[in-house]
Amino acid sequence: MSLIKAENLNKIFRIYSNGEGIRGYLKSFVSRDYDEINAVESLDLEIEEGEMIGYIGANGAGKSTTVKMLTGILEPTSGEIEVDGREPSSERKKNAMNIGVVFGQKTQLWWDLPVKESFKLLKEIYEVSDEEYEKRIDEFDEVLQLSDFWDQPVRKLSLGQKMRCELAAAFLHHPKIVYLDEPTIGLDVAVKERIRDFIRKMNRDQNITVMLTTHDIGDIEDLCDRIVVLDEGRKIYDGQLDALVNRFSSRRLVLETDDDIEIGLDGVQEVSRTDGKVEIIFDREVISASDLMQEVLQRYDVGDFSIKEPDIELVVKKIYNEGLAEEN
Amino acid sequence: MIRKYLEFIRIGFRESTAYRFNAVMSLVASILYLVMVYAIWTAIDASGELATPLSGVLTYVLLGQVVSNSVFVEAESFISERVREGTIVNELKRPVSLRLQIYAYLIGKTLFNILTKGVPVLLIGYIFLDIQTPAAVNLAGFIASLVLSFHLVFFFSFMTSMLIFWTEIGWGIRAMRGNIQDVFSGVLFPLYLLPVGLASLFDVLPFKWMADGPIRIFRMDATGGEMLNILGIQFVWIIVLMVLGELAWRKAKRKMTVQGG
Repeated sequence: MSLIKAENLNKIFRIYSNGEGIRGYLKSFVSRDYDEINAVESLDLEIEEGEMIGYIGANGAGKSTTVKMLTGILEPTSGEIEVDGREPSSERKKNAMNIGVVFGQKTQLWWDLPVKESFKLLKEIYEVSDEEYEKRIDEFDEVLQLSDFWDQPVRKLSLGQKMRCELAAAFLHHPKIVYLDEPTIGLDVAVKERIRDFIRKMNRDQNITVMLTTHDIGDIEDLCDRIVVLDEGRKIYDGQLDALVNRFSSRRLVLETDDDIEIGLDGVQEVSRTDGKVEIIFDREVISASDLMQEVLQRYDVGDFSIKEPDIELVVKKIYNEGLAEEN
Repeated sequence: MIRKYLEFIRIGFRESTAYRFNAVMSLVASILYLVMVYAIWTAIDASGELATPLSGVLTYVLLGQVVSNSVFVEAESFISERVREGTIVNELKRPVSLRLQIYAYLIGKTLFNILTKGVPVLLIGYIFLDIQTPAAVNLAGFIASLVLSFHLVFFFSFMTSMLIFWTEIGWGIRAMRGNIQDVFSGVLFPLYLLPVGLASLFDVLPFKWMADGPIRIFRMDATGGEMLNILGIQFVWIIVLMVLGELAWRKAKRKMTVQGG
């Protein structure tokens, strides 16, 4: 049985408006107009124990809303959720013992107290024994190097240091599942690396299931085999990352040439010129790279060339912009 | 189970110690306030308008500071900080009750306040105002009444703080509740100076039992049955406010889980 299971999940928010001008404002006390927004729509999701999935989508796609429903903070408008055999919103506290959560931009550490104080509190909240506590803190320290700022008040920490603490806090009680909502937002490359190492270690060595929402392509490439893509509340892709990238069959041929290039072959989708370079986007299922090269080399004087695979960033950008449907 | 919340008491206390300067400043403010009040009441007395002994008024006002410095907590800042910045999700993702958590946290703050603001002002009273120590029974009654006052103020402020889930800003609610509370509880002026008609209005409100009650027990104005009466009324109000707070909390929780804060 899946560890996390959501069936036909819906979340509709009402957005109230205050009306315009003084009349509208006064009227809003009596009856308020509202719009309904489907933050999450007919979502089915199954996650197995030990998986690490990337949950991606543009801002406002419904990622955080899903995480809040899975953690029991938000009640779904309709649909079923089962996390480790429990319904999270009606058994919020029991479910909470089993999970760790990081909301990237919302620290759970006590701002004016030394880092260790927040951890002592978490130790009691999650009923971690002294022995386990010592063991885990040492273990986390190896990767995240918490001891560098263990005695400093949280307000004096850098963003990266704070996030390292947040990560450790989420894994402290050895939960079955950890939800990470944008854990690398705003961090420099070195800290990102360290955080990814840590997440990978926890997932591989301790079989902790991780659901990761992110905008960072590096996170996805480094960590996730499986990704789920959300667009305006609907799931538009669920599967292997490689398979998604391969669905985009467009490749780019970049040429160094001074000639004006005009190619009318089938499969050539776009030709564009930027100083000294010409970029040809083509569909490799219609025309092979070698055929295209042959044609180009016969007709033009080319200094150098390269063929570029689609990178994930472009794929994701494309999905955000256009959705997935027209690529099929 | 209990250990979780003991830890919140510790955090509340510990956090207060992080704001040491703040604690010193508010003790200084309290002393300045007493100096000012001393001047005002002395002037009123000198004009011959004061019908009761000046020393009684001064004792009452000083004890008012002791009580309010010690147990006048507020839940509004805690809630409003978290609602406005959305960090309330962090309280909800953990296996703890939000209400018990705030309660325990504020007990921690109160313990700190008693030590740094309550006891020092009482000592000032002993040194400068010749305050009399009450009989043992009344001292015990005063301490019990102070504990009940804390709960009275806590539940009242918890109830009003639930409004923040709709208004999203806490300082207005906090200021209004605080000011009303100061006037009607006896912190601002001795309630025994009120004319009979007005006094009966104060009697039916919960505020009077937050400060006036324990002050009268300390001053031995209320002894024996009357003292028990005060403790009883405090207790009843606590139950009433607890129930109202619970209803408000359910509405707020409903809003949070449905509307997402």
